[in-house]
Amino acid sequence: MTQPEVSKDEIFKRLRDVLVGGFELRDEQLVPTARLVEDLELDSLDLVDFAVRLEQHVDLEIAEEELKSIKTVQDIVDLLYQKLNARS
Amino acid sequence: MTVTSQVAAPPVAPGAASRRVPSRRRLAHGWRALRTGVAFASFGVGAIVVAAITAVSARGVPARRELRTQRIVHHAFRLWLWWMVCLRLCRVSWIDGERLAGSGPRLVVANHPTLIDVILLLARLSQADCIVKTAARRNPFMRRIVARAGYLANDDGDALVESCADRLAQGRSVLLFPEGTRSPRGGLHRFQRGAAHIALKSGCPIVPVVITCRPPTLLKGQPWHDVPDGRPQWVLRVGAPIDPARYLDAGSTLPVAARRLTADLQALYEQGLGADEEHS
Repeated sequence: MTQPEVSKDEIFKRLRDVLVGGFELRDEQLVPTARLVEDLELDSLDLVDFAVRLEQHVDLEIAEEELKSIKTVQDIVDLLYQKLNARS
Repeated sequence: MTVTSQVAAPPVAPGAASRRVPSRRRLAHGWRALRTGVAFASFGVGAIVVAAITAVSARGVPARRELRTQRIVHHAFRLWLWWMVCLRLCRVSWIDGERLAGSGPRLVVANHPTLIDVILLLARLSQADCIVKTAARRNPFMRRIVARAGYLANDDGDALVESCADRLAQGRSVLLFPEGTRSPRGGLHRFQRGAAHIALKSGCPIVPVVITCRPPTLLKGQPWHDVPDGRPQWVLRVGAPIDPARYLDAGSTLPVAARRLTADLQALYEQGLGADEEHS
């Protein structure tokens, strides 16, 4: 059985780096249930920029449909976990 | 000792005097509402005339056709505002209006307290690309003019930023309302970050215009016939241009720069409206 290369905690840490560094968000805002648009105030332009930064950070491609389906921080963690481990 | 003369007055039914005042006030109110109706009806007729003129003048390459149409709209709005002043329906004052002299590229941003803000601004700017909501693009009076003038649709945020930056790169002026809709009474909605993204992408200065209207009229959701008692006065204060480059310092990402620029813009407008409140 193949072990996941990256844990959800590790993904969350990377995601936090992108959101804090790239969007000037505070650590305490980044809880799993935080909604990207309503709570973190990312607008449509931010989401495009966020996707690009995330792709560079984790070396993965995120399709537009996948991006549209993301609502919360936890959604991103789950998506990246699935994609990263499917690759390994 | 003070002596006051007493003049015998004819007997008055209780409350008659107080009834006369409201009826005079009601009459004045009705008269103002009627003149407002005339002004709006003439706007509709004017739109048909402008549509016909722009149809005749709609020749040549698209960019030149758009600029020609925008100039016609500018003159039409000037004429309509003159008519509004003649009808004693508004007074308009500009503070530092000379900052809007000349041509682009520049991004003119304004708060949006009343229905006619865009008319006031386009009557001042001989060329400006506006961002138009779907309702105006479907309005039978407006849609042809909007199309010929090359005004931009507000459907897609990313595409809109690209389109605005493209217009600015051509040396044109772009006008937008960062609240995205009309302001709430006496205040502001939270600014969207589109204006900041456009300025940062294009590198063009933002020219802020703070608009106030007293007494308030033509607010969001307020019918045109709900006119105030006095003649409203619009004051448009043009601020110093803001250079977006200073938000792109080393280590600042584009989203962070857009957030900081938007926050500063919002603060500038809140300060401008607050100062107006104190002076009134």
